[in-house]
Amino acid sequence: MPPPDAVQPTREARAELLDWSRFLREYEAKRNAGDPGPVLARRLNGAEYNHTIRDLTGVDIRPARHFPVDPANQEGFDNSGESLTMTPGLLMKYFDAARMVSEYLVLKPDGLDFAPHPVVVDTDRDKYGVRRIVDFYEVQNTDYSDYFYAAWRLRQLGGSDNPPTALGAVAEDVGVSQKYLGTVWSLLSGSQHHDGPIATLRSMWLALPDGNDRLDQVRSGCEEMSAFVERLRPRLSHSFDHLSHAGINNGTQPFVLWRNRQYAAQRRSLNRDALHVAQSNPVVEPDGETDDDEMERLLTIPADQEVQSRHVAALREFCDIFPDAFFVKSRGRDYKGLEKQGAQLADEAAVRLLSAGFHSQMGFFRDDAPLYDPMLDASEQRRLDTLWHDLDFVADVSRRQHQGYIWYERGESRFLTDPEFDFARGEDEDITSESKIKRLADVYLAKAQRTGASDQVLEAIRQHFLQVSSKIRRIELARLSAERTSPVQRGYWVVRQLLGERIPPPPPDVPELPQDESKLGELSLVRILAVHREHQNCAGCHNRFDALGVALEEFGPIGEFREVDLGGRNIEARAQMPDGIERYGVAGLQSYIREHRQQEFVDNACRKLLSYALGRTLIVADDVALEAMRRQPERSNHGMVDLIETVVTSPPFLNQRGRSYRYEELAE
Amino acid sequence: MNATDIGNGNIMNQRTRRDGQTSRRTLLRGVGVAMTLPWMESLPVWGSDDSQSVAAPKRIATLFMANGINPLHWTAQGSGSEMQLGKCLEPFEPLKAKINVISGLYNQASLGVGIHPGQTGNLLSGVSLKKGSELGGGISMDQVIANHVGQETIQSSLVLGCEQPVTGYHETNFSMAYSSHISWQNETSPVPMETYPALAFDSLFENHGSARNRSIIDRIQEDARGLSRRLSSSDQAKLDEYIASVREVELRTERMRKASQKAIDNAKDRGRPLFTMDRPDNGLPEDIREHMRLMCDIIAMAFQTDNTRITTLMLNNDISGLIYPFLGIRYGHHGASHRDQSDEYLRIVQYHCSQAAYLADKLQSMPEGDSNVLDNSLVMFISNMWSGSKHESSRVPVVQIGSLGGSLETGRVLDYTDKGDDNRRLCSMYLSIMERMGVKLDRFGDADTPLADL
Repeated sequence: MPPPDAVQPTREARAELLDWSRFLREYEAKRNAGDPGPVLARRLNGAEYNHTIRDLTGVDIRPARHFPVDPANQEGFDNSGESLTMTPGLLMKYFDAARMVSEYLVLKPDGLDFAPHPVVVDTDRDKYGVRRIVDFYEVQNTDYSDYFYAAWRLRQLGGSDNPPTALGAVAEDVGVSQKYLGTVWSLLSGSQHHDGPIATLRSMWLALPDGNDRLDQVRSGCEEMSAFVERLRPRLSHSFDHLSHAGINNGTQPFVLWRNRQYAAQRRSLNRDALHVAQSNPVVEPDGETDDDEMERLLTIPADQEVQSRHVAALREFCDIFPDAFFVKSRGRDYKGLEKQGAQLADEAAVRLLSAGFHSQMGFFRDDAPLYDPMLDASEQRRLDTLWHDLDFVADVSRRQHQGYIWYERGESRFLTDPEFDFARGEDEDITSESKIKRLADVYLAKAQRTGASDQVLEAIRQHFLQVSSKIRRIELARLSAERTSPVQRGYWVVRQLLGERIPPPPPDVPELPQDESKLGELSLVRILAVHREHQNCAGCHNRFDALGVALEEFGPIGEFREVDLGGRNIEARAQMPDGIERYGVAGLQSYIREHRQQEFVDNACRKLLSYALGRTLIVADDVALEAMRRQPERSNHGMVDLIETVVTSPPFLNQRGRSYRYEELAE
Repeated sequence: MNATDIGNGNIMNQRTRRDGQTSRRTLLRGVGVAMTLPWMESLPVWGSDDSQSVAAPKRIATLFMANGINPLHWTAQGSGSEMQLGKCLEPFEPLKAKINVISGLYNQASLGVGIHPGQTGNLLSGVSLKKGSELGGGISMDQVIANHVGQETIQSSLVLGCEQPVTGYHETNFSMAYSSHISWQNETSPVPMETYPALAFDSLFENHGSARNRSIIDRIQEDARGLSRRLSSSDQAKLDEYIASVREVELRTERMRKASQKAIDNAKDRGRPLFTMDRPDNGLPEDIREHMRLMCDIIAMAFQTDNTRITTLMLNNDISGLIYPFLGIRYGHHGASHRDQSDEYLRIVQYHCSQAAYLADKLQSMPEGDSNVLDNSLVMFISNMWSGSKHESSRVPVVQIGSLGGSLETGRVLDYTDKGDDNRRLCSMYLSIMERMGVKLDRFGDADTPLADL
């Protein structure tokens, strides 16, 4: 500049121009020093959006992964408003992203949760519920060698001198259940005489060397003890045949579940039939006994009655403490009586987590009693119960299992193809109603009886239908009574949030209200509140707001209009307001406020609006603006537009606190 | 672009359009309702002054029947009105100039994987399914199209069924979920299937909450009255007829909804949940005949009102447990399919074909421009097998009805059985259909060329 063939400015003119432009830039910079510059409101960029969703849901869903790449500003960063614009196309992507996030949502009895995977169809809900239970099982330590080792550690500490503390500390340190460690400790360290396998275990344990210098030896000794239990225990387990009846498929739910129940009930008991009586007394331990010989010897009980009963008692205790399984995490298909083979169970693809083992129908079976009682403390037991309840609730397991049953029996087994079964279709909404299940049970049992089913078969069928009905009913009730309204909270909200009244928190000894409306019994919630107010400590506060909440009772837990509550009682929205006058519903509440609390309402609304607009808590200086707002509504009949205009033209809204700094001052 | 891109970029099905700005078409509006008008001589319905310049929308309805047909009687010869139809296809007799009977197509991914679920979950996608407890498949043809044209309508697609989905595991180690879902929104998620007619109806009209207490017709009435003044007398009659037909379906679904609500209310009055109601107080049609028919009516209405352009209807699931006492048959559908050459199964096949014929006939009776809704649509009847007794899916039966806006020549019998495997892929047919719906893909499922001669 200018072009080479044009007349060139002199060197001085060039310098002057450069000086001038430098001066102008400096002048402008200093003049505006401290100017925060335009910071535009902007959307979140993709990374921020992903992280926000992760923080909100607890799940790394990354809904922004389908967004276009965020444009960067001049400095190369994608966090400024100039570049993060919104286009109609992008807005559609945001809607899609929001829907995508909603696909991860799970509705649980106690609220919402987000799954680590989309939850769209039934199998997704199964996966969510099953995974949580299996995760719970998997963190339980059921390795016997760890318990034997922990018991050895207790022995090193002097054991029973200070058991509860030592037990807890060692259990935590080794990572085992304190409850079950207590059982194992009593068994191994007790003074009571034992026969059979318990005597063997005890002598193995006592043979573990003391002191910390031979830990390897201790560990391997514990492994051997564990291996001994694992070798012997399966030989003492029960085995149950399949039920069968001509015309009914062996894979039918009542039969498979009956067999599952037999196994589940006998996990901690001795199968007496596995034992045989010795030809001679006593059963002696020969030299050079192999493992197999040892097992055989332990299954052989002495002929002498007294010795025999001691031996059997010891075996019973052994079976009780060492169940044949603490829980059953997976099953293969228990189909047509085919034996479940080890090889098949080892094949991950052939087994289903928590499955009941039906042929083609879904269904889960809980088999964890040996874990539940001996190992879990009360809070862990509650947790496990909750997880199973959640599975049933979230995935609608009982209902779907029954639907699958109908489908299977009608289509596949053909036992239900007679016209008398035509009333039952899997797709009927009421197929799981109490009356229909009962009717199906009656017709089914009648046909089974007619065709000569055994008593055991009939009992299995009868039990099946009773259990199905009660499980479904439990879930239906959970759905219906998941929530109740709270006139107290609503009333408190009205006086606190709408009228700005301050009320002290409830005293610590406040009596509790029932969790849901179905448990209220004959009394309605409103009546129970009246009783509650008779309590002197409560009356002082509750008289100030209960009635205001009762007025809103016409609206259910999620805000729907209603005439009866979830317990079927008529709604009582009539209440005596603090002014002593009985009023009904929202209109009544409105007239009470208008007559007695109008000024409080207006004051409070003005304070809230101003605080929201200023983005801060109000200070004394705001009283002037508040006064202006209060006067404004009187003139304009409380019009919202005028109120907002008063706020946005008020000095506190238009100005920011602070003084202007000169560049030189900042530089110093 | 391929199908996976579409799936990833746009995984949401049933997108609802609420912006109210993009309509090119004349709509009747009310609270929560937008209904497209049928073609009328006195109105530029399709949104421009030159009503002929904008083509009517194209729609596709896929009707699925499980477990194959009766191979002895699934025959067709000749063409057009001269076509000779076998017994299975008799219900299509009045429509034969408008149908294509297509044989010999197969889906590679359904072969050699064992019977039933592995032959079903990929019928519309051509993708290999994953065994075990995790679902894995691919986006289906209908959803690819829905992602493309779905923005234009209230619902991008309507996925319906007449039998509740069954889950669990088949002995082939495939999830039974594959047996209940042919529409897939992406590689891991099937589209949830709506089996309740009232809910399907609601989804078309944003019919929720207190709005439900008012008839859809009542809600658009004011708009309709205003419109009526601008119509010729013959158009006024057409509008009345149109509104009456929507009203009729609404009334039938409403009856069921009321019965269902009454049952729930009764139970509540007694202070305990709904356990004690007998059908029909439960919200589902008492008889599978009424259920199937109502679903067809809802599809027809959805097409006529242009609230969706893509639907699939599983008349039953693979390994169906439906029974048909009214056809004089006592076995379940699946059991009957094992005797697929019997007269009983012939009756079942005829019955299912008659549903497709009913839907097509109903669409044909709905005028649209110079033609009718059927001419602008494709009703595709398909099964996952040829022979249920052999579980044979090396070829599947297909009947197409309607010319998809004149883009499909009809009245033909197309047999690809002897054309060589590369030339008889089911996914080639889908490529052809998708292309006609404006989705041009290089590859879909196992095919990279459209079906020759279609």
